[in-house]
Amino acid sequence: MQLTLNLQRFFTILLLWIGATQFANAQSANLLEAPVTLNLENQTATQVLEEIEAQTICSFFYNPRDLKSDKKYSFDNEKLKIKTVLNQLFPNDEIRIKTKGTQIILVKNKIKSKEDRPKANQKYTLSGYIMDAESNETLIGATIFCAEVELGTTTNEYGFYSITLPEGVYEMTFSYVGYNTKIQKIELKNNIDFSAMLSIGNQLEEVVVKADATKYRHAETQMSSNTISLEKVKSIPALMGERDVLKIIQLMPGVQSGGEGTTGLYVRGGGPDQNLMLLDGVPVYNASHLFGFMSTFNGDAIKSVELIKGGFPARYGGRLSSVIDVRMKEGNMNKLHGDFTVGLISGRFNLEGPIIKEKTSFSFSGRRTWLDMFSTPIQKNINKKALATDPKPLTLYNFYDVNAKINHIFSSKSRLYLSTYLGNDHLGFRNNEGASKEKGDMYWGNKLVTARWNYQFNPKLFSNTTVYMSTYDFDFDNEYITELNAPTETTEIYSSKSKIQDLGAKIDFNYIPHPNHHIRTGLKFGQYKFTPTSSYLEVTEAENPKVSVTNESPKITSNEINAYVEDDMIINHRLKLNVGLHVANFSVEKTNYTSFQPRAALSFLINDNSSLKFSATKMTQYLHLLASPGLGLPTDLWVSSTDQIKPENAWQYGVGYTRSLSDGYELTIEGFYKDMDNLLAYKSGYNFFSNSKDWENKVDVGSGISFGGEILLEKTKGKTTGWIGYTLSKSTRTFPNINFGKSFPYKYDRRHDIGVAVIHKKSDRVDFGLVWVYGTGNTYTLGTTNYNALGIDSNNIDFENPFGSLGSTTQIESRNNQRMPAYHRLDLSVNLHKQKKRGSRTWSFGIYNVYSRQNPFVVNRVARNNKLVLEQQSLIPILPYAAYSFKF
Amino acid sequence: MKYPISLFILIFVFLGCKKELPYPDVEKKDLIVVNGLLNPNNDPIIHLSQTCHITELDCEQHSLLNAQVFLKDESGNSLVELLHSENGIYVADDFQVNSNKQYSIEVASTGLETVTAKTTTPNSFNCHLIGKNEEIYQKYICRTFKIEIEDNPNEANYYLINGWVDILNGQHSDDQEFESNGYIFPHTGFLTRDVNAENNTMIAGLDIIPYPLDFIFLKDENFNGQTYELEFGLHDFDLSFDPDWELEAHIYVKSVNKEVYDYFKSITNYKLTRGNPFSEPHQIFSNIENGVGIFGGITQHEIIEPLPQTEFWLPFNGDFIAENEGCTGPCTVQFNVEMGNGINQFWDFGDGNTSTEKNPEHEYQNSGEFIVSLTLELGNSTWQSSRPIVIN
Repeated sequence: MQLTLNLQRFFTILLLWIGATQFANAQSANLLEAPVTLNLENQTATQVLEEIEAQTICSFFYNPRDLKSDKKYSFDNEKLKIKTVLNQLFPNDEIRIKTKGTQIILVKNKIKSKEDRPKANQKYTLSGYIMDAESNETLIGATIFCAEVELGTTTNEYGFYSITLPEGVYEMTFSYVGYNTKIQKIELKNNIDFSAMLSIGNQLEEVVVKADATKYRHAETQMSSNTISLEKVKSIPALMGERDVLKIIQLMPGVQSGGEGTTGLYVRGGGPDQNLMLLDGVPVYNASHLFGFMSTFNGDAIKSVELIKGGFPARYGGRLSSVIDVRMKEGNMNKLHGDFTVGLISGRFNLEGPIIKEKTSFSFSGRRTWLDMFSTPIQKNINKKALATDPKPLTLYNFYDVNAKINHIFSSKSRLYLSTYLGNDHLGFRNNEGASKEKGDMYWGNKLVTARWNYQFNPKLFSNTTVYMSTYDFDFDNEYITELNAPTETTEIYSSKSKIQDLGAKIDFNYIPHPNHHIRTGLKFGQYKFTPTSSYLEVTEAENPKVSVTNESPKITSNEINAYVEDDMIINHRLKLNVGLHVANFSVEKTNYTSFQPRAALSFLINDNSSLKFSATKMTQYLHLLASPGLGLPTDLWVSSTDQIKPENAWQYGVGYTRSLSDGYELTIEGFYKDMDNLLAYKSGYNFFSNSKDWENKVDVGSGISFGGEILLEKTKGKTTGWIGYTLSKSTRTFPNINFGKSFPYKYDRRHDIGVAVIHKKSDRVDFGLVWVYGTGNTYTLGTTNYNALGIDSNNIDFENPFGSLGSTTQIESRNNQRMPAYHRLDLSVNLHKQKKRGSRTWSFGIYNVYSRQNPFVVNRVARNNKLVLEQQSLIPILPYAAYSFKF
Repeated sequence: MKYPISLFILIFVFLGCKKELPYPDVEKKDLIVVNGLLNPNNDPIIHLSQTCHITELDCEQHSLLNAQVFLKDESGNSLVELLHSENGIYVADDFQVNSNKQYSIEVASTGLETVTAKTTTPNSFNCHLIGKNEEIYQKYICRTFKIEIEDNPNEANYYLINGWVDILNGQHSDDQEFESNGYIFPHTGFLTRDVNAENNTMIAGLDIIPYPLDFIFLKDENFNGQTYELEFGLHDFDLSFDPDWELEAHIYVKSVNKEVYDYFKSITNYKLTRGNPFSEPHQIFSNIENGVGIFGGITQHEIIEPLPQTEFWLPFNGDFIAENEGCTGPCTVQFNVEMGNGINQFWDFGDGNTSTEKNPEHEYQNSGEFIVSLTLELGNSTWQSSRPIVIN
C-alpha cells in the first residue's frame, strides 16, 4: 500500500513538473498572438522588429543579412498581433518564423523559388558509412542531418546510414561527438553511395551546428540509455589503474555495484544475471576476472559501449534488466598503430593496422596479470620463515585475455568481420603439510568466436548475418596425497567441470524506406548446451586397487528461436514512436515456452530543446544464474529454464524528460516501475557451494518489484566534462519460502545513489579526473532477540522429556532488516601526456578512496567479552596507483 | 575447495580493515517464550522462558518460574490452569488434551507482556510398516523402509518422519541424554525420493558429501484421504563401524498441524544455515502473539524394527572377489561382489572381453596381468573400481 502511494506521489510530482514546462511552452506559442500597437512611418523591417521588442517581452533573433531589404513599412497606430505584423513584413515564404521561449527566430528559407524545389515524386536515397578519416573505423551513432528539410538519421551499429529525400541539392551535415563536423553539398538526382570521413576534432573549440538537432539526446526516441565514451574511460580514475567500462557504467544513475571494487551490475533493482552483455553482438556469460574485481572487457580493445536500462527496442531480448552493447575496435585501415600499458597488476597491449590498405584490417589486444609474479615469491619467502610445524599453503592466481578482430571490405556493399575473445582465469593452490600434499587448480573463462557479414541489398536495405559460438567453462582439478611415500600412501584425484555453450546464427535487416521510418527485423536461432556439473573422483590406495567414481548431472540442451520487428518512426516533427514486437520460443526437455514481448517507446518534442518520453516493454529471460551473492565467483552457474523452472519475465514502464541546456549541458529525469516474476533464489540452507545436480530443488521461485526516479545532468562539451547522477529507488522481493512469504528489501536495494564523474582537460598534456560515489548501505539480516526453541539441540522430540531439545537461537523478524553504513568514496587521477619522437607516452597517477573511507563490505557478528558485537569488514583503504602507457 | 577462495578473499580483507559498529537499536524489551506441543490423550505440558538481549551469547537459563498459564477452548473459556513443576515446565496433571480440537493459551507474568497463541490438535491416524529393503541411494547403501499412512480425508494433514538407531548390544555411553538399551545414534538422517516429500538429499556441490536430513516433510495435498505408501531410506555413516552390532531402528511418524510443520521446516533450515557465512540466516517460525515460540499439536506412531546386518557401503574400496585368482591359464575365474538390488554390473576382464552378468565367471586363455574393472551403475551415477589379477 505504502509502495503504491509512494509511486503515485512520485508520478504526481513528475507530472506536475512536466505540466509546468508545458505551460511555459504554451505561453511561447501564444507569443505570436500577443498584441502590439505600431505607429511607425517608413521604417525598415529591422526597425519594426525593434519596436516590437520594445513593447513586448519577446526578442528577435535573425541574421541581419537575411533581412537586408530597402523596403519600408508604415503603420498608423494599428493594434495588431505580432503574427500579423510578421506576415506583413515577410509575406512570401522566404523567412520562416520559429519561437523558442520568449525568443522569435527568423530564418531565411533556403529553397528560393518554386522552380528550384524538387519534384515531390522523385525520391532518391543517400546511403553509406560514416568513418574516422584516419583509421577508417566506422562510427556508431553518428549523425547525418539535412537542414533544408530538417530531417536526419544516425548510423547503425555498423556505421551505416541511409536517408531518402526528394530530388534536389542538399547541404548534408555529418557529425559525431569528438569529431569535426563535415558539411557536404550533395546533388541528389539518383541514389548516391557516399561515405563520410570525419577527422578527430579539437573538442575544445567545437564547431557548433545549431540546426543539427538530432545530435541531442532529447531528440532520440530511445530513453534510459547512456553511451560511454571511451575517451572518458581513459581519463576517469580506476582501481589500481585498471580502466574498466563496467565500473564507469556503475556511475550512471539506475546502476549500482554490488560491493566494493566489483564489476557486478544491478540495474534498476534487477539482479546481476539480468544484464545482456554483448561483445560484438554475442552474449558473454561471465564478464569478470579476479572474482569480480575486473571485467573481461579490455578497455583498449573497445570502440563503443552503450547501456540501455529501459525502453528496450525489440531487437534486444533474453535478459530482464539491461543491455550492455560493447563493440570492439575494427582496426586501422591505413596505418599500423599500437599502444601498451604497464600497470600495477597487469600489462596490456593493442596493435591494429591494415593487412591490405583500405580493404582489410586487424585489431589485436592482449592483457595479463602479474599478480602471481609478485605474490608467489613473497609467499615462498613467508613459507620459508614459517615454522615447519605450521607450513603455509601457496596460492597462485593469474588471468589473461585476448581480443582479435579482422575485417575485410569486399565492396562498398559487402563487408566481413571475424572476431574472437579468449579469456581465462587460473587459481592454483599448493599445500605440502607433513606427509600430505595437495595440489588444486581452478580454471575458468569465456571463449567467443563470431563471424559477421554486412551486406547492403540496396541503398535502403542493409543486412547483417552473424554466426557465433560463446562458451563459458569452469574446471577444477584437485590431487590430494596422504601418507606420502609410506606403504599406505593414498592418492585422491578429484575433478569437476561445468560448462555452458551457446551456438547461434542470426540475420538482421535494417530497412529505411523513408526518413520517417527505420524498420529493423531479424531472426535468430540459438542452441544452448548446459553441463551443470560433472565430477570425477579417483582414489588409489597403495595396497588396494584404484577406484573411481564419476558423477554427471544430466546435460540439458535447449533451443531458442527469436524473431523481432520494430519501426522507429517519425509521426510528425514533435512525435516519434518506436514500436516493436520480440517473439521468442524456447524449447527444453518436454516443454516449449513462447513469449510475446511487445515494446513501445514514444518521444514527444515539447520544444526545440526538450522532450518527454514514455516507454513500456516486456522482457523474458530463459537462462538463470545460480550465483554467489556479491562476488563474481567462477562457481556461478548458468542454468536453463526447465519443465519445472519457468522463464523470468519483466514489465518495465518508464517516463522521462530530457532537456538540452546551454553550454553543452543535458538534463535527463526519468521514472521507472519494474515488475519481475519467476526470479530464482537459493532456498535456505543452500548456497553457491552446493551448485550441482538437483539444482531445481534447491531454488525458490519468487517475484520482485522495483521503482524509482533518476536524474542525470551531463556536460559533454568544453574543457570540463562529466556528469552527476542521482537515483532514488526501492526494490523488493517476494518468495513463498523466504521471510514467510512476505516481501522483503532486495539485498541491493539502495534508496539513494549518487555518482559524480568530472574530467578536466587542462591542455593536451594534462587532464584530471574525479569520481565521487555515494550509496545507501546494502541490506543484511540481523536477529532481534535470543530465546530458547524446541528442536535446536536434537530432533527427537521425546514426549517423556520434550524440552530436552531446547536450545538457544535467535529470532529474526524479517530478511534484510538492517542496513550497513552508507558507502561513499572519492577517487582522483591525473594523466600526463607527452609527445615523443615515435609516439606519445602517458603517465597516469591516481588515488582510489582518497579520504580512505572504511566502506563496509560485510558485517559480521562477533563474540567479544561474552557479548555479541557487530564488526564491519571493509576492503580497500586509500590505494594509489601509477601506470605508464605508450602509443604509436 | 572453499579454502583457496576464502584465502583470496582474505588477501583483500588483509588490505582492508575491521571496525566495530554500534549494535543497531533493537527491541530491548524481553518477551515471553512459549514452547509447547499438545499431544492428544495426554496432559498438556509447556515450557516457558523469556528472551534475552540479542547481544547476550548464552541464553540457556531464562526459564519463567512464576507465570500464570491458562489453557482455553475455542470460545475463549478457560479449561484449566497449568502449574509450574520445575525448570519452567508447566503442567496440568488431571486434564487430557483431545484430538482435533482448537485450544488457545494465555500466559501472563509480571513485568512482561501477556502472550496468547492458538492451535488445533491433529486427528489420530493409522500407520504401519509394510516392507523394508536395502538399496543404493546416491553413493551409499541405505536401509529403506516402506510405510503406509492412512490419511484422514477432507483435512489438511502434515507429517514429519524421523527417528534414531539403537545398538542393543553396544557399549552404554554415559553422556547420552536418552536412556536406552545401548548406544544410540541421534544423528541418523533420512533420505527419500518421494515426490510429495518437500525435501530431498543434497549434495554439497564441490565437496560431494551427501547430507541427509533430520526430518522428512510430507504434505497430503496430493493424496488427501488415501492410504499413502512412503518409501524412505535411513542413513548413518557410523552404522557400518562394527559388523557385530545388533541394530534397532526407531522410526517416528508424526502427524502435526501446519504451524508445527512450518516450525520444524524452519528449524531444519536454520540448522543448515547456522554459522555459514555464505548463506542468509534463516528465520524460525513463531505463532505466539506478542511473544516468540511455538504452540502446536502433535500425535505420533513409533515403529521399532531391527536392522539386518549388511554392508552399508558400496564396495567402494574395490574389493570384489576373484575366486581362483592366480590359476594357470587357460582357466576360469569366478568374480563376486556383494551388493543390494537394482545395481547394474559391468565387467571388463582386461583381455578384451566384457560382461553385464551379475557375479560372472570368465575363462582366461593366456597368462599375464589383467586389469579387471567393475562398473556399477544406478541411474545416472556410476562407480568404477579396478584392480589387476594375475594368471600364471
